[in-house]
Amino acid sequence: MPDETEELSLLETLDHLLDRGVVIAGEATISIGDVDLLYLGLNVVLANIDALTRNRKR
Amino acid sequence: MKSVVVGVHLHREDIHVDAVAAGDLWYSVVEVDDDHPLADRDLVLRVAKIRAELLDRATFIAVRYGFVVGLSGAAAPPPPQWRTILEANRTNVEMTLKVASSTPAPRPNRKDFQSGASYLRALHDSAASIDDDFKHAAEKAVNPIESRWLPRDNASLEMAALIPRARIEEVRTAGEQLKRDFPRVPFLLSGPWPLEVFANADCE
Amino acid sequence: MLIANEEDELRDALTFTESVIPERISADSDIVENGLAKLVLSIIELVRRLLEKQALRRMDAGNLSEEEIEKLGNALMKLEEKMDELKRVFGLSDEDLNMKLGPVKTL
Repeated sequence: MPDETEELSLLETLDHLLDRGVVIAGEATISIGDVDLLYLGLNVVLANIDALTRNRKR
Repeated sequence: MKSVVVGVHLHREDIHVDAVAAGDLWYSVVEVDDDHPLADRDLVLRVAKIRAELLDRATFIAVRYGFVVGLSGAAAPPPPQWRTILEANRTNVEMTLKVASSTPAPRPNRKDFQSGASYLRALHDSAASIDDDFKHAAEKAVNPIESRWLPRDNASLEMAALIPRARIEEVRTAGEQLKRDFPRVPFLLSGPWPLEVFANADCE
Repeated sequence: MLIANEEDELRDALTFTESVIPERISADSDIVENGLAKLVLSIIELVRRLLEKQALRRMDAGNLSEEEIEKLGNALMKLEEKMDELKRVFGLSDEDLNMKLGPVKTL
């Protein structure tokens, strides 16, 4: 069914956008809305976890 | 206005949207109002579309969604290995193959375990595995420059593959064949994607 | 490009990150509390999932010491425990938190 494949395609696209990608350093502008603050906070948390678990090279 | 960072690029002309200099590389950005929530579905979809358009022009490294740079004009210089990765993969893209396990093991119940180590081990052992047959066939079909099989959870896993741009159509055809060869295996082949998994120089 | 096989089974088996995007939070105070709880729990769940994914990958790669395995395993257990507790406190189920693949709003 074309509709379902479209849906799957959308989910896959969003998954790639939201669950991947490198973490950048630098300024993060905290904006006003509650949702944004928390969401940005989440990305900072994710960045820290990335750094924590990846930084194991000895 | 704030600038949501989309990707890291080698050249300014690779970017058809706004760009911010970052060392000797460039960030592609999407400008939005300061009070526009990043978790807004429409914005997320818009950025996803822009990513696809950018990828059409040139390969770039995908930046995790949610990072924003200020209006100061320039961003901090990125790690030097990104330049190396971008230069080495000028004509490559990523493809993703997600496979659902045919016999997903039940997730272990943490209450059954006394120690953290035994629980983590049990989680590890219950991770999805798939038939070697399919695994080999998938690798053969995609025929990547490089590939990595990554665990996802107890019900699925995925292969991230690096392929030359020129082979995208070929991979599509091979994917259709894989569907015919393995009609009972639930899988999803998608792409092309910017550098995501292979942008991490160190092994995950 | 997307080629998919056995889509129904695929949708059952795969979890996508999208389902954890928090919805816009209403200003209505009745809904706010619940909305915030959902948001916080979604975030904790996302963190837990990420932690688990990373831990399993490192285990696969043989990159963890015995001590690290123990620590990570314990952290995961504690997070799960907390999640269960918070879900109980707020009366929220996995479905409420959109943990599973839910219906996608059309464009």
